[in-house]
Amino acid sequence: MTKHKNELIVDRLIHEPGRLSIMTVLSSVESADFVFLERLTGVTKGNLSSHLTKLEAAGLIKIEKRFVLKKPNTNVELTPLGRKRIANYWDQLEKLKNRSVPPSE
Amino acid sequence: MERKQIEAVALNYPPQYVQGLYAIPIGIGWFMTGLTNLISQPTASWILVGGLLLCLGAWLGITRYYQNNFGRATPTKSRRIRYGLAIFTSFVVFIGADQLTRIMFGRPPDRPMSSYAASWSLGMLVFFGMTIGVKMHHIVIWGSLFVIGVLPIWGLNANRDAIAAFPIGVAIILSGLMDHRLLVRASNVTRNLTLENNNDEA
Repeated sequence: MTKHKNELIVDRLIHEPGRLSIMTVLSSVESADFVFLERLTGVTKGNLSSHLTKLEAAGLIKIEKRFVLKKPNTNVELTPLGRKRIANYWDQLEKLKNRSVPPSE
Repeated sequence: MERKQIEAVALNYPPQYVQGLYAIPIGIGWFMTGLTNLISQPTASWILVGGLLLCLGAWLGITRYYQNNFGRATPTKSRRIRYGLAIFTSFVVFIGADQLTRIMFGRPPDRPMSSYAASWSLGMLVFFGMTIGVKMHHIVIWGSLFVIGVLPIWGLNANRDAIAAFPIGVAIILSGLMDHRLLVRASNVTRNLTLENNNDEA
């Protein structure tokens, strides 16, 4: 974790651009499958799979492997903790951004 | 990282029934309806059956295309409620405007217009306004249909509702193709964002 003065903390697990885009997409829907995430984030299959594993290990997402019309389908959704962490991340970034704006004369 | 851009694409990703290419079988369905109702008794039912089978085949193919290329997403509950409300409201607008016109001008209207086409276009504009937002192509396509509906070009003796099914079908297909183009472009925008495609340890 990068601790900024005045308690501004950037969540480094989410800060990685690929994971950030995955979390942001998931925060806008109830759930999404692997193909949807791949399409919207542009992250390659291998990297996406690796990012999802990390996010799942951290308890930020829930992965469900299922069959849809006899085809395997990986469905992903944010956990309540994941939803909280991504909202918090964007809040913190917004605060950092506001802090960097030079005061008007 | 363009947060709003990514959120907007995911948030506005349309549920199955408004994904653009589905407009093709729906539009063909309208042609079939118009064709078989041109005279007062529905005719050539084999055209309708054949057409419906064609639509079903197209529908299945389109479903496979969207699943393989765009994947699946379940919208949030609020989004689903909004879509449900939009369908209901647009239907009320369509029926309401059509019935109001018929109350004012008779059944069928004694003026050479098509209240059916004009009312349908209003309903569609309300639907898009409440869901993905009215885009320029919606205004052009559905606005044109509205103008066509109210212009005095409709024969008084013809079955205007059946004839109106043809321009409605054309408008549905054109609007759907443009919506699909928009979906492809929107999803490509997020892909083109400068995401580092690496997987460094956090």
